[in-house]
Amino acid sequence: MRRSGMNFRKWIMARIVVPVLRRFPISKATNFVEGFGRWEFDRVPELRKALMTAVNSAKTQLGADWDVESVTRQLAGRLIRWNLRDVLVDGPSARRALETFDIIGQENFDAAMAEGKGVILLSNHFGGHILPAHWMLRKGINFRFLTERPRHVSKSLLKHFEQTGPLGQKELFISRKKSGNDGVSSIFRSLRLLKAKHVVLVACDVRWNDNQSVVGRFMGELWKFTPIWAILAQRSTAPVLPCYCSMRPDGRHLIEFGAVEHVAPGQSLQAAVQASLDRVECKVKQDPLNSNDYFLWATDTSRASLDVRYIESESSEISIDQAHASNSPHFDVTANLAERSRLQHGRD
Amino acid sequence: MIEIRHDELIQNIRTTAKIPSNVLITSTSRFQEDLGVDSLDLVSVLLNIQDDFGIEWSDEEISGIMSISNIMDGLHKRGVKLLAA
Repeated sequence: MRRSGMNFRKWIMARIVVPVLRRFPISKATNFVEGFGRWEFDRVPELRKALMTAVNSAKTQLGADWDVESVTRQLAGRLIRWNLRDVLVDGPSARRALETFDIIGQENFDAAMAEGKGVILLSNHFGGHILPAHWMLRKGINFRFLTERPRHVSKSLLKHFEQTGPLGQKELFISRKKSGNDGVSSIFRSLRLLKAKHVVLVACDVRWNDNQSVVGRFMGELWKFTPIWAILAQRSTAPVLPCYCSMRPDGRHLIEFGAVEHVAPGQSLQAAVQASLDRVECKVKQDPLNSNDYFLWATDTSRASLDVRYIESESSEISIDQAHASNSPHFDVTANLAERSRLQHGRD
Repeated sequence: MIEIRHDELIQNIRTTAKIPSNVLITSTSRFQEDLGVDSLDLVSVLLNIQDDFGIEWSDEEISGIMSISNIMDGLHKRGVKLLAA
């Protein structure tokens, strides 16, 4: 399915429908949004076909036993809800928002915070991926995104994004368009934030193409991912806390905090990234209704998507890079190139 | 005042950034273009210097560090004396 079409629907929902919906209880508003998505699925053959192709492809890749027709129809509803990020839970009442969250693994969150080194909250694009940030905002937890600036988020988060200064959010966003030492600056800022005991929210499944990227297998394909979270974890010794947020029926959200992890100095970045991807893939298989973003990866033929695909022929670069990588076993992407062949052969 | 020999600083940078011994490092060497140092290795270099000299790089400085001389300037600004080999 084309993302431009999705973005148009997102705009209509955000600017016209949502302001009305926010006057209703969150459960009713969410059910309306999901109902609209299913209505659209039933009546727009192009959308139905595109979504079913994507779901069927994912089912095959993962060896899942989903009922494609049923999963896809429900997914169509979730897709619009997902695109609305945290907008439906926004409003003046923190209580109204917080009541929609169920938490599993609060003790893991507390344990990570108790280490006193800040926390790397390892997020992803599964389910309501922006919602944990909204939860932290309402809970008064100091957190920052080390991500690209999320779009179409609530007014509360937008306000949070405008914070400036050395520990402010505004300068911390990363961008594919930036160059020079911006990556270096982001890491330094994040290290400072962790030192100040903030939570740094970073996704493990960000496809990225630069000289630090590592190759990871996800949903049956090889992609280039940024290992920035693992680098931060190595450098800061801060705990890594995996986090998943699934969208549940009736406007509810389930945040799961996994067991606290650490990335030891010298540990392979590629292995750390792959382990995190494997966990997300496991979630996708268990809960396809919260996996909409991933299903669109395979069929996305945009330039940005092609740029982050790992093409087998790139392995020819390995011999060139390995010559320089021989002295840098862990802290250089070229070393990770060497792991590519092992990764491929290990999985195939 | 903290002092460090010029060649000692260069050797520290070489070791941290894993610059091969056959690559000549001069004050004007640029990290990326001349020495093949990527941004992660540069992070390592800057963090090690922070630890060694008890300094903290500002965001503006980090953005502007492109060459060995930028690091030397930063150290000089903080009163670190670079001695000839």
